[in-house]
Formats: sequence, C-alpha cells, structure tokens
Amino acid sequence: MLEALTWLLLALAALFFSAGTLGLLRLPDTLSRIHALTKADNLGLGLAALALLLHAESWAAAAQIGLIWLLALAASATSGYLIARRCLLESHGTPASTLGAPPPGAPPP
Amino acid sequence: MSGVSIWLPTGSALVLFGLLGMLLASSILRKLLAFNVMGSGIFLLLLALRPPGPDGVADPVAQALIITGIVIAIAATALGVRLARRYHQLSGQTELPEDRAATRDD
Amino acid sequence: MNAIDLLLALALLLLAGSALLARSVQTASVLFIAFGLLLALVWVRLGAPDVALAEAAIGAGVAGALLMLAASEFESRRIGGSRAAGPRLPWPRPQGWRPRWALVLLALACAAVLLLAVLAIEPLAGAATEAVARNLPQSEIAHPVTAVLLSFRAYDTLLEIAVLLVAVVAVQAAPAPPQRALAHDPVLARVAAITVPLALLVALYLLWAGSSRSGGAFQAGAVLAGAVLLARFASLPLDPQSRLTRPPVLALGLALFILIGLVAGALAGAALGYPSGWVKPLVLAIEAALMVSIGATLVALFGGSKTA
Repeated sequence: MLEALTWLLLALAALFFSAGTLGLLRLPDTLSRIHALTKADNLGLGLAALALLLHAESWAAAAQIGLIWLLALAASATSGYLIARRCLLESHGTPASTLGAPPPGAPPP
Repeated sequence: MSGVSIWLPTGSALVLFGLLGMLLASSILRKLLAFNVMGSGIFLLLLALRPPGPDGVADPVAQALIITGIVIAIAATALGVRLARRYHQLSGQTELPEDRAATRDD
Repeated sequence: MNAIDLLLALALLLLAGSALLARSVQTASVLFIAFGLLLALVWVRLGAPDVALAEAAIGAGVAGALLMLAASEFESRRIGGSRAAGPRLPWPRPQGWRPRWALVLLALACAAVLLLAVLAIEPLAGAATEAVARNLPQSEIAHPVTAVLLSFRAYDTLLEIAVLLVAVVAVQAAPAPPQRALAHDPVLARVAAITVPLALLVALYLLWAGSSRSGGAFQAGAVLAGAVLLARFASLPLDPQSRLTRPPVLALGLALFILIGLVAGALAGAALGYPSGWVKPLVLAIEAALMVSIGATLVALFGGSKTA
C-alpha cells in the first residue's frame, strides 16, 4: 500500500517536472519560462518530498525533508523574481521604473 | 568485462570533451570551463577505479584526494577568471591574440 | 550496471557537451552549474557523500558563479526575449582546417589511450579502505575521510591551504575591475535576512559534523563564503566581506595548522601528529580555523566589495 502510494507520488512528481521542462523549451520568452519553472518544478519537488516523507526514518529526518522543500521554494522564487526584474530592467530602463511597469509585449494601458 | 563500471568510459569521455574544449575554444572563459570539465572527468576516473566497500562507502583516500583536487581546481579557476577579467579590462578582448579569429560572438 | 547509472552518465555527458557548445558564455556557465550539481548526484551514487558536498558547494557553486560573473562582464547580451540568432558553433571558423583536425584527432587518441589504460587497471577492491579502517582507532577520529584529510595525510591538506593562500595573493595582485553598485532590492534583502543566518548555521553544523559524519572544513568554508557573498549582493547593512577578507583572517587557517602541527607534533613525537586524547579538540580547532580561512579565501577570490 505504501509502495503504491510512493510510486504514484513519484510518477506525479516526474510528470510535473516534465511539464516544467516542456515549458522551458517551448514557451516564447523568459518571463513565461520563469512561470513554468518555478510553479511546476516546485510542485514536482513537493510531491517528491512527500513521497520521501513516507519513508523517513524519524521525525527529524522528516523535518529535514520539509525544510529542504521550503528552502528550495524560497530560492527558486527569489531567483525567479531577480531574473524577471532583470528582464524588465533591460527592456524598460532604470530599476525604479520597473515597479508597476507592464510586462514587455503587453499593449500599453 | 563483467561488472565494469559505467563511470570509466564516462570519465574518459569527460576528459575528451574537456581536452577538445581547451584546445579548440578561443574565449578564455570557455577554456577555463573546459578545464573544469576535464578535471571533473579525472576525479570521476579516480573514484570509478575504487569500487565502494561493503558498506557502500567509497575509498576514503580517493575521496580526500578528490576534495583536495576540487579545491585546487577552484583556486586555479579563480586566478584564471581574475586574469581574464583584468585582460578584458585592459584590452577589451576576451581572447588571447593567438586565438583571435574573424566574426566572433563573445 | 544500473538503469539509473546509465541515465545519470548520459545526462552528465549531455550537460557537459551543451555547456561546451553553448552559444553564449553566460548560457555555458549556467549549464556548467547544472553539470556540477548532477556530478554531485553521481558522487552520492559512487558512495562519496563528502565529495558530493564539496562538489555541490565549491565545484558547482563557486566555479559556476565565478564564470557567470566574468561572462556577464564580457558580454552585454539581453537575457529577456526570444533566442537570439548567432553562429552555431562557439569555435571560430579557422583559416585552414588541417590544424584543427589534427588537434581533434590528437585529443581523441589521448582519450582512447586513457580509456584503454583505465580499463586495464584491476580495481583494487578496498586495499586503501582496509588500511584506513585498520588505523582509524589509532587516529581517534571517527570519520574516515576526515581522518585521512587531517591525520594520515595532513601534510597534503596543509599544502592545499598554502596553495589557496598563494592564489588569493595572486588574485589580489591583479585588481578587480570596478563593478556597478548593486541596486537595493527589498525582496532580496528580506530573503537574505532569513537565509544568511540559516546558512551560517549550516556551515557550523557541517564543521561540527565533519568529526563523525560527512562534512568538514572545506564544505563548511564554502557555505560560509556563500552566506557572506549573499549578504553582500543583498546589500545587507552588515558588511562582513571587507572585515573578512583581511590578510590575518586569510592566513589564520594556515598559521594555526602549522602552529598546532609543530607544537602538538613535538608533544606527540612526529610533526603534524597529535598527542593522544587531545586529537578531537585539536582537529576541531584546526578545522574551525580552516573553515574561516577557506570562507574568507573564496570570498576574496570573488573580488570586489560593496564600495568598489
């Protein structure tokens, strides 16, 4: 029973990772690729972490796995934000003007 | 050849890639990158020649050698990167004069 | 041969090839970081978690970051937008093909000889492992790799630290090109305010764990360097970098190592030996000093400071 659940979770995780990679390869520009990578990949990581949690030897190990997932979330969210900011910087100019700026390619308001 | 580790040809292939990269690439940074790939290939060969012991832990002497190697490689890479940046700052070029060729990208 | 091993090996070669053939050096650096992380996974597969930690922290992290920093200085390519058109190969069209083909054939021959030589070696199943295990109780260090690094082959580690110091001296002799001042980013500052103390904690844990598990001074020093650099890039109010990269801090590890090696060695009867019963605190002291020095060295190798 536990085996089947683990396999299911890992298969779902692989599916999400593949979806993220597909997005990376096929989406047109950097901003949309960031969407695919941060959302799909982190969900895949969460599912994989869940699968590992089922096999954790102790509560400390389970807490470690949870902490790893949270840190990976924070890291990918921050780096996604920084890359997106850099994108806007290159298309709009100074950093101060990028807050609240429309994404490049959107029709002007 | 029963039980030959797959990491032996992998390590050799990495050394090949790194060697080709160092010989053929023209930008200094690419050479440094290839140098690192070659180093990783040699470390892989070092450890692939030592199958893990009964408890699954690899040879500690090989591990210590590889850790030392990684640290030395980073020291060499850092020096190379700093020299490349200084050279770029002084001359505006990213390649050494003997490697420069027409219509380059970076 | 495992299916996982086969997949890992193929992925490793694919990443290495893409990193070397990438169109821009920035792309190549990112692919190189991915290569380093996958290689860390391979080290775990081979039963070497210490090497995996060192590879992920130093080999992938520091090396990739160095290359990316230099690459972003060398080219001002836009990172937003669709893939830019460019020449297919990063290598130039040579004037005459003959010299290039000779080089390729030469490299292939070298690699072939290497592969044949390596396949012909009988893998010595565990001779060194047994020797280490036999002498481990005598060294009074619980973890074999730490014992090799700081007791059996302490001389190698000493020289390695000296090489790092020489590299820092050489790097500081060539002044860093001036870097743009980094704009303050509130999101990064908040994330760094949480992550930097956590990273320091991880570094101290790795240092402590090195005496009985995988870990040790090198990995801890790399994490420490990462924390300090993150604090600098996030423009946190503390400026640890300028205080950390002063010569006394850089030389601390080497100096303490030599001092303890000579003094404790005199007591124990051999240079770089430790008197019995004092091994654990002495090794911890050496590793702590090494961690600080290695962290400072890696930060100094990066170069530049907030005020530059």
